Amino acid sequence: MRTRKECNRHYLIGLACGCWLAVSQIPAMALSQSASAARPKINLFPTSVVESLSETSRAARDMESDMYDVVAKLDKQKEAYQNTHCEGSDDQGCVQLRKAMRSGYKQMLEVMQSSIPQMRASLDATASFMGGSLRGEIGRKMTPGDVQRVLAGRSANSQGVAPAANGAAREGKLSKMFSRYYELVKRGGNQADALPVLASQIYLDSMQSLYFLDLIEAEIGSQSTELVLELEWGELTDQMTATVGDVKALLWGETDRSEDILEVGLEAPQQQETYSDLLVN
Amino acid sequence: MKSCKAGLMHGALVLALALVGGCAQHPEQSANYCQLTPTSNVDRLFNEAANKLQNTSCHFFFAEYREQLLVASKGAPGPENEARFARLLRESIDAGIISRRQGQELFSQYFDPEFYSVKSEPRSSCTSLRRKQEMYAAMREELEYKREGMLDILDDESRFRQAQSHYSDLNLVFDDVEVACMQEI
Repeated sequence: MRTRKECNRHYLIGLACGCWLAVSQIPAMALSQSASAARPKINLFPTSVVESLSETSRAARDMESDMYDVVAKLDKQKEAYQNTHCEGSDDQGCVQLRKAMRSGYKQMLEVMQSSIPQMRASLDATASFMGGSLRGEIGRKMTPGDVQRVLAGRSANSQGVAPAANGAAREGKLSKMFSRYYELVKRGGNQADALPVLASQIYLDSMQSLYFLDLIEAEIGSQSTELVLELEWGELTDQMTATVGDVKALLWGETDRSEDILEVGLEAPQQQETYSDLLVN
Repeated sequence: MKSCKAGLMHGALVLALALVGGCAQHPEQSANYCQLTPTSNVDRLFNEAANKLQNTSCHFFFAEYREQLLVASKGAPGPENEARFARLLRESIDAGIISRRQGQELFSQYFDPEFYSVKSEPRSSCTSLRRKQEMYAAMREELEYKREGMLDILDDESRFRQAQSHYSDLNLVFDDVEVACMQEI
């Protein structure tokens, strides 16, 4: 009987100690939970994304270097054609120039056509991985408020990424854009809070590049037959000039949006402790 | 007996009329009392509003005061206006004129670079973005409040730029997340 009483007493003491221990852990747990809740953890750039960015950058560089000479030559021919007022002229020199222009254009289409499959596959992979990452990490795991919290809490500084070099002549927009994205993603830790913006920008640019690629491919398909038939004569049509424009915009467009990313979140967020009671986290 | 009864009824009628008259006169008196004295001194106007809000009959004037104080502080923009509004809102919360949530909403809309309309969305981004247009409309409206609060009232251009930066970043991310979410469907 005594033994049983003692057992009960020990059991109660043990239970009390257990409760006390559990209660003592609550503040610590709450603290760690609130700390982790304050800054949602996301992994927007798994290895698959990083690898596909590297691959896209390489594919774009290959395509650009193949295209650069062809398009530069075409530009010079066009300039000469316009400066010498060859339009509508039957002069032998003008006829030769027209022929050379058409030949150059055809060459451009061929190079482009041969590069497109690899480029598309690579862009497709990047867009698909990035879309999956955005959907999973931000779309499902975070509320819009969480997204804003991550963006607002960014602590990027200008030391994170070196300023954009004002380019080597042969460095095109597309490869530069993706190689900078690759670089930014690799160094992601330095501006971790701007990563949702970076991910969105990569996704957007991949989708837009794919759209351009589709347009160009469709144009190539519709123009190559016509071009073979009229190779000797006619001038470059408006449609052809527009295609050259599209190709140039895709490869060497004026705007490099990856540079904008560097500006995002450089300002340190203002701490408004004084008004914390009137602000919502 | 009859005249006594008539006298009693007369007395009751007079009392009732006096009560009705008194009741009818009261709001007019409090309306006059609750009006803020026009002045270009912003500090004095905030103090007067705070004092009057201590009187329960002036609680209904909160919205009117807020508008008047917004207009007055635009006439004297500066960082000190933030503290003035914060004090008024805190006192209004303590007095039970507005809820804490309403106070936070008002203060955030005007002075926080982040967007209250985004913070108050409890669902996941994929679900919330099904009503993206409504969310964007609320953000645009809030950006207008922020322009008023940060530029016209605080004269704080850098803070407004921060709000604009949030606005464009959120738009960019939400647009892409919406596309990514829709591609799964």
